[in-house]
Amino acid sequence: MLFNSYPFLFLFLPLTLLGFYLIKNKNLQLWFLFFSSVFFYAYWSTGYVFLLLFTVILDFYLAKWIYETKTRRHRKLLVFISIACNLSVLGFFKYYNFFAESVNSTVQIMGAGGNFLPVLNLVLPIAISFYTFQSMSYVIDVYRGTSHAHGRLLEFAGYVTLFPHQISGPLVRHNQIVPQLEDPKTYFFSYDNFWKGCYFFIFGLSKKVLIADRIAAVIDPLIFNMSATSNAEAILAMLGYTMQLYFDFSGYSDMAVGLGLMMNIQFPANFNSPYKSFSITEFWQRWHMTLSSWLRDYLYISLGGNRKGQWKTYRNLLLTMAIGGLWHGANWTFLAWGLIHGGVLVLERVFKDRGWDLLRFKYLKWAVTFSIVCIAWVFFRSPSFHLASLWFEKIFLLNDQISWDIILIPAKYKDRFFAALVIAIFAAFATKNTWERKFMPAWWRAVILGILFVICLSYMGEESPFLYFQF
Amino acid sequence: MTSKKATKALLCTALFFLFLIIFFNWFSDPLCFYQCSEIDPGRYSLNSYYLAAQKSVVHDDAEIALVASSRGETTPTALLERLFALKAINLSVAGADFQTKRGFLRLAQKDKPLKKIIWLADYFEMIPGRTDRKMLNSEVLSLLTDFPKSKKWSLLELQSLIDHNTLEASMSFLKRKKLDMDQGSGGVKNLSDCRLDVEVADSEKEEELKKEVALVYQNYATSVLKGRQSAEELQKFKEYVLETSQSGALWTIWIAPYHPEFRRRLQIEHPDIWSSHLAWIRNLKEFASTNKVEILDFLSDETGFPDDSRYWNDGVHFNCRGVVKMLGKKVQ
Repeated sequence: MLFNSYPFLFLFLPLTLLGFYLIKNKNLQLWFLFFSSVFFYAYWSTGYVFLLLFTVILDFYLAKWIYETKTRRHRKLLVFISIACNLSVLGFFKYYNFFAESVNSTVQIMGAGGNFLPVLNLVLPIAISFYTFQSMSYVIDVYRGTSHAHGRLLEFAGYVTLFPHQISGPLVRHNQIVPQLEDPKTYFFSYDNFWKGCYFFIFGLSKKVLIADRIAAVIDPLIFNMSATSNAEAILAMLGYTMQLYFDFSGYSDMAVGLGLMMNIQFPANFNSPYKSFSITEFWQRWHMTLSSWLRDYLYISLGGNRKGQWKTYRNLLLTMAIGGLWHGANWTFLAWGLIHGGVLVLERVFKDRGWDLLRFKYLKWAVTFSIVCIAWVFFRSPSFHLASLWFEKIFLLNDQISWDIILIPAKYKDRFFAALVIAIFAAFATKNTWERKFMPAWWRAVILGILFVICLSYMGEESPFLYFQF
Repeated sequence: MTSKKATKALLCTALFFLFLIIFFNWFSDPLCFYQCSEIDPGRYSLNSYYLAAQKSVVHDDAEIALVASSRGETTPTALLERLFALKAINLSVAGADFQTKRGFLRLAQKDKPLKKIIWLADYFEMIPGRTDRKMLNSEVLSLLTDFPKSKKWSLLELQSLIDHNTLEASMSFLKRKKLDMDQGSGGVKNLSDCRLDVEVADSEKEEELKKEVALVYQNYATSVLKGRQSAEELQKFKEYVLETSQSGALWTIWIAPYHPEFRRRLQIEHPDIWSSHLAWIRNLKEFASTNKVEILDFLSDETGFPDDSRYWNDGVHFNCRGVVKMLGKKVQ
């Protein structure tokens, strides 16, 4: 179930919170939280719950084994088993069909008929990318010696399955969450945390329901009908998607943070006004921060980071971003998106290493950065290169008939779309983000939150699924 | 202020406004979801299903009825009256499926059987789950279908009480308009607007139509036409045709075309849906041929239908000139 759905808000959340705080035994509270989270996952997919639990149990015991093993060779073997198992499961469900289709089309291009590899009817287990990365990073930490092995399976299972971050992040680390689950203070109701939780949750809900969904209602049909859109509509679709993705994802992250706080669990920030960035390097310090730090710690550094000379640093940057792109989805367009970001990161690094500064004006730097981000999102959103090229043709006015009309946006949505877009642009560029505000308790703030919550409830009827669910 | 007080204030504010909206929506009931236990011709409502039911009650002396989804809204009753020399009523409502259409016909035949029934058959009408929420939510209308309203409150109904669509309808409901109880569906008032001798529209209008076709295609291909038709519903339809035929009603099943570009894309991009369309038409034709039911098929007709904006509003909705072009030629 989505956080922005009536069953979640009126049934699951109140019952979970009530159960969590009414039970007065820490151990039972944790069991209750674990079962609630498993139920939350099973609501999506009953069968794949076992895959999630398998990952949890496998990594917990492998990490324990690694911790107790003294010889380096054995430790290496065990971490290899964990990584191989995790990546095999992820690779099979998420990338097998992509791989098979790519091989088949290559074989067909070379002149051989038929399918070289069978394409399977696979359903992607929801959130598999998130929980695989979270669980795997624990084993790697224990192997590297940067963390002890946790003593009890329940706390570890509670961390991986914890429902607020389970489906779409933030990509939290075990050493951020497990200690909180072990701390007895977590299990006592706190008005301070609950108030902050409500603030994060309602602001996140508003970002998702009142801004992202209003924009999505218009740009989804535009993108679907790209061959019929005008140039103005194509540009609006790019700008709209840029805003939709940010408000959708950061809204959902805020909701997750809010839900965590309602249970005294603090998640890390995932976004810090990324569209205010003056470079792509800065963008990745502000956008999906938990993923970018994960990629840095477990991929970029594992590849050698910046320790093996300039050229290998550039290679590592490019590889990390390419793999990061593919993490988002099994499609060449995600790879293209990752490569664009990786390529610009390399360029910025080259400029930095040589002390060059071509774009001297601050706002020019911002404009270039924002344009690159918007253009790269076209690849991210397009299901194929064909659609992306059609979209680019219209954005850069390369099509035959230049047209500026806006007909494809239904009148019913037009006003709301433009209102949401203007608010989104203003909020993204000119205001503080949810984390920067100190939303201290006050009557007027409580009234604002209450009204905002009711407006969100009222607008939740037209649901658009959370964009990051597919990852 | 403490967090405790602020949290309580937040909860109280949310509950206050929530109940305010619920009460407002409940008492104004603009869509006849909660308080319509019978069809009252004098009641003002924004529910188009309820309005069609009201018209059916008001014009209970109609002899010919057209039942259709929104695709029939542009059919002028004056045209039907001229073609058949019978008093006509148009009961076309957006999203109407088989159950809804049959419900309206039952209502129209409550006191007196109809002499002629024109059923504008939509492929999607036989796909389960396409019944409009408006039908489910209204007690009196749900009685017309095989899905009587549950006595228990469902989540869906509770949801409709706080849904912004209901709230916006309630606001609009405050500005009541005069009830229009004509025989039509509100689409076309004047038959002279449907003359065929008009010039092809300008290129701007054609361009606009092209976009409308693309827009509707997206909705239909990814949603409305998805799903399998129910053999059970189709069987019920046939039984209903036979039942009413025995009471003396002459039937015409009108299978209207899609815009040629819509049809072309459907054939190429969703061949499974298209072949399913053809199987459905074959099935109806077989049934019609053995039961003396007239069938007008413009959909599988390969010669096609003109594709310009003189006849089309979008990919599936033809205007009244499209209707005249079809019915004027075919119905004898």
